[in-house]
Amino acid sequence: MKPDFNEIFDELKKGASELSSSTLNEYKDEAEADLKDFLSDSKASLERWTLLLASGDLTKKDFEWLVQSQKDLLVMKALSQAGLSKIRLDQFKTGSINLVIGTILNKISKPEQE
Amino acid sequence: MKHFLKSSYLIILVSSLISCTTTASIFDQMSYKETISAKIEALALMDKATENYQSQKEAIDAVTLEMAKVYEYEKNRPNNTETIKMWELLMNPEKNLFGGFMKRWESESTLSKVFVDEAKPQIEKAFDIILGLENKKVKPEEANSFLNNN
Repeated sequence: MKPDFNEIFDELKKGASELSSSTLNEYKDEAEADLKDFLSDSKASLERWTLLLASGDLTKKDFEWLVQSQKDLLVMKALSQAGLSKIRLDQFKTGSINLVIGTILNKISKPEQE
Repeated sequence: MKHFLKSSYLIILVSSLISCTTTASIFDQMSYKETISAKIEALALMDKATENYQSQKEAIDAVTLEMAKVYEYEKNRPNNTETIKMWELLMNPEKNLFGGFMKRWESESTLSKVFVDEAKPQIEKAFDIILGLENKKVKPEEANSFLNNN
């Protein structure tokens, strides 16, 4: 029995759609939650540093250094997100290749068994 | 036999495709361990910044060397651009993370306890961002799962 390529193609389409929605949506949610946490943490730090500056516990130079460090952390966060998107892309690519090969191998090995 | 050969060709083709298309580095246990070690040492060193910079020179040199070794290791890992850039930012004396903190300590001789206590979590977060990305990288056993499963 020859493998039915229309059937293989339909199976691949279904698998690819499931794979993209699970991998890419998961990444989008993760990135948004991560950024939200960072901004909330930034707000708390800035409030505390402002109070310490007003009370004289921090000098103006200390305060400026800390605010600048928060900006540098934001750059690090952006770099991390860029790295993470590459990781997710790799996972998506590997998943896609596994899906194609797995589906085809599954179909072409069946006739031999029959 | 014919199907076995076809399957073998496909597996070889897939392995080549995976290696060609990978854009991010694989998780590295050594990098993770050494980054944690550098983080602990860097934060412990920052606690000493309320004391005179010159009096702590030996400890400063030791930690700086340790961090330079980790950075050098990261530079030689393939597809590791973001982690390398994060280390450069962390160590850059012109920026306001670990390198900038050390520069400020050196130029001012001592730093106030309040400032040190506020700067430490910033450096800790920077290390945690590096560690967080490393931890999310594909583990070697996951990268090989296709070959193991087929």
